[in-house]
Amino acid sequence: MAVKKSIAGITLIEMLLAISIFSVISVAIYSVFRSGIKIYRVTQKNLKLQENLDKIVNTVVSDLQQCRQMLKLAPSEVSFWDSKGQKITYTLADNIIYRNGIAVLEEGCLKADIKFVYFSQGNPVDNYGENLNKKQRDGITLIEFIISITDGSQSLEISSAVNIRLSD
Amino acid sequence: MSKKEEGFTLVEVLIASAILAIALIPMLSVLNINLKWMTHTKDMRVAANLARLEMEKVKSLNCKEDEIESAVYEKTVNKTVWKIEREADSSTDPVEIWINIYKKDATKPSVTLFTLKENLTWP
Repeated sequence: MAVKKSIAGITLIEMLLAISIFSVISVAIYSVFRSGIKIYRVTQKNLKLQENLDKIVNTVVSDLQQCRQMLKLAPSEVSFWDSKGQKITYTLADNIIYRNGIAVLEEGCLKADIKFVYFSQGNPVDNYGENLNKKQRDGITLIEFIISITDGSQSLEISSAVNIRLSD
Repeated sequence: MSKKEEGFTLVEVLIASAILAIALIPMLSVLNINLKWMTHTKDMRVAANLARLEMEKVKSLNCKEDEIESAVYEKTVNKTVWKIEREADSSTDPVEIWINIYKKDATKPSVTLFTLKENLTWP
């Protein structure tokens, strides 16, 4: 029986070597791919938070700027008459902000929080602290608000203020 | 063994993949740019609102222009410490009031607002 000296093909060693090189490369590629997807998801979520927070802040600011007569001013509830003679009420219940009874955000998965602090003469907070212990103009109330929004692990907070002048 | 077989040797393949890896590594940073910009826009939003907050405070005051003091204070928003700087330049008339918002120890302000204060008192 004649044994051929060399058969065309690959040996087991060569094959194992090829597979191991291929697997090392593919593991690297996979991890890059996976982190890409992860970053995409984080960005997407954060963008959604930012957009929604913007929406609340803009609604609150534009409403408060139209305020003519304040009816109620509590940490988590404001109620006032606006320039068109419409009554506007903001309330917070179970981490949902309601404007005249309608939720400001449609998306139920987002938890929001709002807190109003106000500064005006003769009211609980007489001056702002922070080296600005000057008198305020009569009839001017500064409403500072802190709005935060949470989506699972991520959260975003914004602090801002509006001056309101009561016409009476 | 017969002459020379056509194909790549192991060393050639390894070198080729090493070159490929070196070329691809800088491209990984593209992924991070996204995150960096996202953080940047988030910070700008927070800073702009803090500047508005401080400006509204200045606007609501009933005082003479020389009574406005410069001040620096800190406020924590979004788990980050923000430095709020109010600068009243008394050498100018009307008084120039600058509001700078810095993130943590940054030397460059994220947001700057400017207004003029005239010597008016309100009834």
